Amino acid sequence: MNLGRSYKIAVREARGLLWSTGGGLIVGTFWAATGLIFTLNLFQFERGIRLAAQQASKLQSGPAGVHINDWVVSQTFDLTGGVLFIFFIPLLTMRAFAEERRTGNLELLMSQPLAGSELLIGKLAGSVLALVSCLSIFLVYGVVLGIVSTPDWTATLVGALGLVLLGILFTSIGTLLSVLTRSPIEAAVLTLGILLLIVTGPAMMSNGPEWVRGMAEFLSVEGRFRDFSHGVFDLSHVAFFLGSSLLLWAASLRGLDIVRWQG
Amino acid sequence: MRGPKTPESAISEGEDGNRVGDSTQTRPDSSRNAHEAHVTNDTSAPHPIEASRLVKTYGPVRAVDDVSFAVHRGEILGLLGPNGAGKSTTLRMLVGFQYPDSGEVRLQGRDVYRQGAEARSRLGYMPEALPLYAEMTVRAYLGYFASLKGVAGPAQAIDRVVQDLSLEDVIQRPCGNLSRGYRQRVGLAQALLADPSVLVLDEPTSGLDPNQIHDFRSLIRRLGQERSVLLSTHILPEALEVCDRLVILSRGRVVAEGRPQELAGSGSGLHWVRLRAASPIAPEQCERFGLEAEGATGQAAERGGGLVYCVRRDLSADDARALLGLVAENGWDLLEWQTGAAGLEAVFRRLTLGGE
Repeated sequence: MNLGRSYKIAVREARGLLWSTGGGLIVGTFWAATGLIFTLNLFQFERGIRLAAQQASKLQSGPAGVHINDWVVSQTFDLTGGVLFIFFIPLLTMRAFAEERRTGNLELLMSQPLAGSELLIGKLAGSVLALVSCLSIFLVYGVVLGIVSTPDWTATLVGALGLVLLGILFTSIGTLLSVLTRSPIEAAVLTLGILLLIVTGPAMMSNGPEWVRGMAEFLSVEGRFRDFSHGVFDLSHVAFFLGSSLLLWAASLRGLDIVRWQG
Repeated sequence: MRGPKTPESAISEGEDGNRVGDSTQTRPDSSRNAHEAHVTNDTSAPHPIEASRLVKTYGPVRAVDDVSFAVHRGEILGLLGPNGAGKSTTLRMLVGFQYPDSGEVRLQGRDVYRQGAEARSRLGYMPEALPLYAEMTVRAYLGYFASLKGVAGPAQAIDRVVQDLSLEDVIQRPCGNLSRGYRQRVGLAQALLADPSVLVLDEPTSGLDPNQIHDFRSLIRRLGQERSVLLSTHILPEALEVCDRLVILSRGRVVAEGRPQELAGSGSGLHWVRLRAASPIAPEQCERFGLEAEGATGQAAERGGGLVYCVRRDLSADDARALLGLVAENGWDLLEWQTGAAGLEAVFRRLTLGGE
């Protein structure tokens, strides 16, 4: 396998996603949405501190524990991963293969001396690269956090790792669906539906029998992600996210074979 | 060399004012002979492209049905057929984009499905759809494909193809802003980046204007002097002008294979005649010569102040002479007269229209 070729594909993919008019609009909207969430959470935090101080002066005790990680960091990560990603990632991955197939570029790419795995890794890496570039705005939020308070940096980094792992998993789902469809819109709608199901499904199963609840807990992507966003690092969660992504990559590779059968 | 070998007296002006048959000029004999000298049919060396018993079905439709052929070293092979004959599907299987239901493809002796990347390393492919990344400049686009092909010295390779295909003026332009002619050239430049020994071109002149078509055909002939070329086309003059050998596909099957001259001569008794009469021709004459009113309704179509009839069948020499006599006697306009020896078009139509 020649990863140099995958790298070239990844760079082109990321550039195509980020430096196009549509891509710019999507990234701009994502940044605006995360900025809004972060700012609103900061106001909430400031209000929480004020309330806690008033309560402490009334009770003549020490201030209640109002920590920026609980009020801002976890909240921002939760809303970004659990809500924004559901709408943002389908837009990021829909073009990966479906658009290439529609325009005929996939025919050209697959007639190059490239292994299917090289193409797939390149496309996936390109989408993840674009996602990470979009998440780079969180560095700015980190600086703001450092100015206004003293966050728990370890917990913050664990939350960021969770966001990236969740992004990789969601990107892998979107890429698989992009491989299996001929139209980018179809790929985006299907990805959106499946991500919604993944995020809300376990909650819907919580009233079921014991074994269903157990299964829902095991499959709960959101539950595992919440642990990360609250600063809890669990290796089994890392294995879950990476293992699921690997399975989806293998399925995507099989999907490319299906493309070769269908033409 | 002219395609139709008709009695000079029988050749008339076509309806568009051009002399019938003028469009079937082929590669000059001297150039063809010189070229054929380097076409080798060495059985010990693997063929650049070898397709054996390819079958591809889409649901109930058999798009490619037991297709076998080989491209010899140094030849330009034309895959000729009407739209929907299975040409593009066949090419897609040859370049490894599509799997056949059954059959085998070998590129330079390597199995294109089992040794995919390796087999495709000496292949240049230009698909019919001409996909380009609109936002990339021509240089960036060629650089991207040079890296995917693993070209050593990509800058030199790009300079070479840019010079060969006269792309200097557009090298910094975004691909999305190129005219059809330049898009075609950029597509071909991409295919030539790795200096492939085998070139596969799907409908290479589709959508070009006549001047561009002329230039592009010259270019393909030039490229064919150094490498094996397989091109698909449904344009007969192109096949005659450019190709050393033809494989004719119809409804997914190979219906004929051979040199253009051989194929054109395969229906030696066949006549392809169109004439215009001022008034309806008597039924007994129609029956004798197989004269049919042109048009689906069975009524002779009125064009240019007359009724158009055609003959598409074998005629004996006596009948042919008698028909010519009738034409002269009645003052009918002879719009077209081709015999099998000259009429690749007639052969093509006979083979691809199911015996018409």
